[in-house]
Amino acid sequence: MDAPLIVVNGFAAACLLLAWGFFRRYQLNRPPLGAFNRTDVVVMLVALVTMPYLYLVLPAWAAACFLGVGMLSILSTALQPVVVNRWARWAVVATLIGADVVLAVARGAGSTGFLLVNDLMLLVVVVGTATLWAQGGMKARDLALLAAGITVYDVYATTQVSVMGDIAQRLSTIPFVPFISWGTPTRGLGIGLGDVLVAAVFPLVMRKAFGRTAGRVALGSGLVSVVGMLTVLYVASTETLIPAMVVLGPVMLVQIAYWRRRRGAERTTWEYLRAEPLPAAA
Amino acid sequence: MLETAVANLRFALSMGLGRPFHQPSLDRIYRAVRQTQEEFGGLGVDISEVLSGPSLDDETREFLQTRRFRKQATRGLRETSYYAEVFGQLGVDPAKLDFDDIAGLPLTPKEALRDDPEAFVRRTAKLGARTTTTGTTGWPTSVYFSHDEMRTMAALSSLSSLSRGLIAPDDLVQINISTRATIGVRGVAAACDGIGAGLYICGLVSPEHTLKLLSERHRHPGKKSRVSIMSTYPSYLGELVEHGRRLGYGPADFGLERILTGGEILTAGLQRRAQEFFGPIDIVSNYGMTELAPLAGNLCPQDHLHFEPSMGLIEVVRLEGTGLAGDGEVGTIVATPFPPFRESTILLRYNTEDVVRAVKGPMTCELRNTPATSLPLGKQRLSVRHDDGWVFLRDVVEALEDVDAVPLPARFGYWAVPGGVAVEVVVRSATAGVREDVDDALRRRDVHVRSLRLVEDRNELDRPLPLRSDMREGSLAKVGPTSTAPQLIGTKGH
Repeated sequence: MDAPLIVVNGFAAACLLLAWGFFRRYQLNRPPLGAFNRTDVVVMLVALVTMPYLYLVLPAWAAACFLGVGMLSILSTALQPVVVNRWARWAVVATLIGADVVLAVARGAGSTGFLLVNDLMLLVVVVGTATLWAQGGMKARDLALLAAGITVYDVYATTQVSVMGDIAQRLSTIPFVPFISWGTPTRGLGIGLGDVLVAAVFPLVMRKAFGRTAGRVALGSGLVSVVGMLTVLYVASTETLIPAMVVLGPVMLVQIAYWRRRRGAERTTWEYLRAEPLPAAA
Repeated sequence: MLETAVANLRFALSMGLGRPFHQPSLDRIYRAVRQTQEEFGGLGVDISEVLSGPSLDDETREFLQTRRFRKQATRGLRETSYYAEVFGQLGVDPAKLDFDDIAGLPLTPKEALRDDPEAFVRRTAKLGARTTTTGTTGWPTSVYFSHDEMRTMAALSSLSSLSRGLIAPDDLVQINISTRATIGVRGVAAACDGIGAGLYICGLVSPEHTLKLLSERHRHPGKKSRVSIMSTYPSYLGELVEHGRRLGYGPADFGLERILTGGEILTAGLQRRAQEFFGPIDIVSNYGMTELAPLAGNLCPQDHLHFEPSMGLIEVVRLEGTGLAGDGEVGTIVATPFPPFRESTILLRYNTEDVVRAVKGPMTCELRNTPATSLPLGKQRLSVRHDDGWVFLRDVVEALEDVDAVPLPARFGYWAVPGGVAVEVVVRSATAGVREDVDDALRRRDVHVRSLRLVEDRNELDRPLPLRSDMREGSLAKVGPTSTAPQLIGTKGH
């Protein structure tokens, strides 16, 4: 097998599997008031539509700063329960952020060293964000809305207008590239941060809402969808952008509909933790 | 989560700048309380910072409080007839006051507010509700609030109850305070509504009636089977213990877990006897008064009464002499409620006449960063000076309620006589042994008793002190085995 296929599939699968374990192993700090709700989904969808245009309008350095601040914030939150010492945690975050910037500037955003560091950082970002959303009380019904919205937008933005292609091209030259990718421009493979994030949060929300079995089915189907899609894409040797949510979206919506029909009302975080106490609490 | 974060930000800005609360943001926070409670079964650990802001060092606190005081005083000067006259006579510009200047301003006596409450209301205030004190010390004092202030108080009460873990969604809460005590009743009711707990506003009906309600079993999904929280006055709690024992009730007849008390002194003796009667319950005591609402004191485990500095300035003014009391000295609580919590009725340096000891030294309790006083010792007019010191209401009532031969609530009177005080008290049986027990208890509290009179009938007391439990409310209900369950409102289960 070629390196891009192994590395990208490996990172994507690691995102899903590590998020699954992290969700049960660590508790991230949530705000004292409020839970993830429909308004958050609407805000995210609005941001999803507007952000690509913002990236295209902003100078490259400003887009990099924008992404960098977001990464910094998520990394520090995600690593909080893992690296308890504040200084050590900030050292890890600074090393990751610094290495990403230095390697992008010194060796280029297509260099092997940069891609390795950037993929590693995105792995932490995906695991942290997915956990934060799920532990923040994200409901399956809200995730369904998010998935449906992204799917529709993804298809439109990829096939009807050139914005996704332009974005991919523009952001692939700066630090904090929001793609897990590997390889050369002529023979490479990549998957967008957003797609992996949705795939990673799906099993967590399903487990919280409907139980362990629903979560495992979601994890398995997510892995098969992502890895299968990337493999087909690579083997077909196409340079075309494929809207990943075209596959992921329906897989998610069907499962959410099935479990809602079968289990009825979904569980709150409180009910989920009462039924499945965390290992430390148990 | 995002809109709650924005609402929190607006709330924090109002807290920080003293500007009126943005009511939609407060409503959003209020809804977020319920949403968070339903989703997570509790609030995050940092909720107290959302509610009261971060703890402040002394210098920052003085800066913040001086700014708030100036603002409130300037509004008093411009918009109330009372303070226009006060500042006119003093020739002081309140906008230029320093922190140290505040202690030199005259106190606002209780009588001034009681005699003409509208002289303290801002001309631009949009009035919504008139509330009155219970009038245990004479004619009730009226305080006016706007609807926005009432909504703010409801939201704060809800947040406070949740953050302190006082009420949970599966609780059944029964309110046994005077239904005319608008602030107290609405505060607990709003907390129940916000949290999703079941609520029954019972009022001060007969103790037999209340005991019957407390012992009833219910079948509300997601709720406890019996009343788990009661809000009442210490004296009414005493009535319940006394009547309950007589009627043969015991711990197994109740599901009470917590009793919220206020308005009177909660004694150690009453707590002990209530816990013997109801079982191992948690009894919480708070300090608050209608005139200062929503500024109130929170009791810490080390018996300090803490006041949130952004909500108002609390001073302890010497009982004897002038100026502020030093550490450990006795004085009365003088309070100035601040904007944005107090917008309609302006009170500057209001003399509550509640006696406490000043606490100035470094504290080690969990609330050590907020100003504090000692526990309330009683009303100033009930404080008796004798050759060796003071006798306060707390000393007397703590001593008497610790003696099991004294029925609850202790009904008594005391007054100054040469060299100490004369005490009269109702006991079950006026025997020599009981006299010795009561006398010993009083002396252990350093009460210089010069005359002790025991009576078996409360009507024989010469100068009985008024108790809130005597504000009994009528009811046509016949208390018997067929009494029906109360209608619970605001229920919401998981």
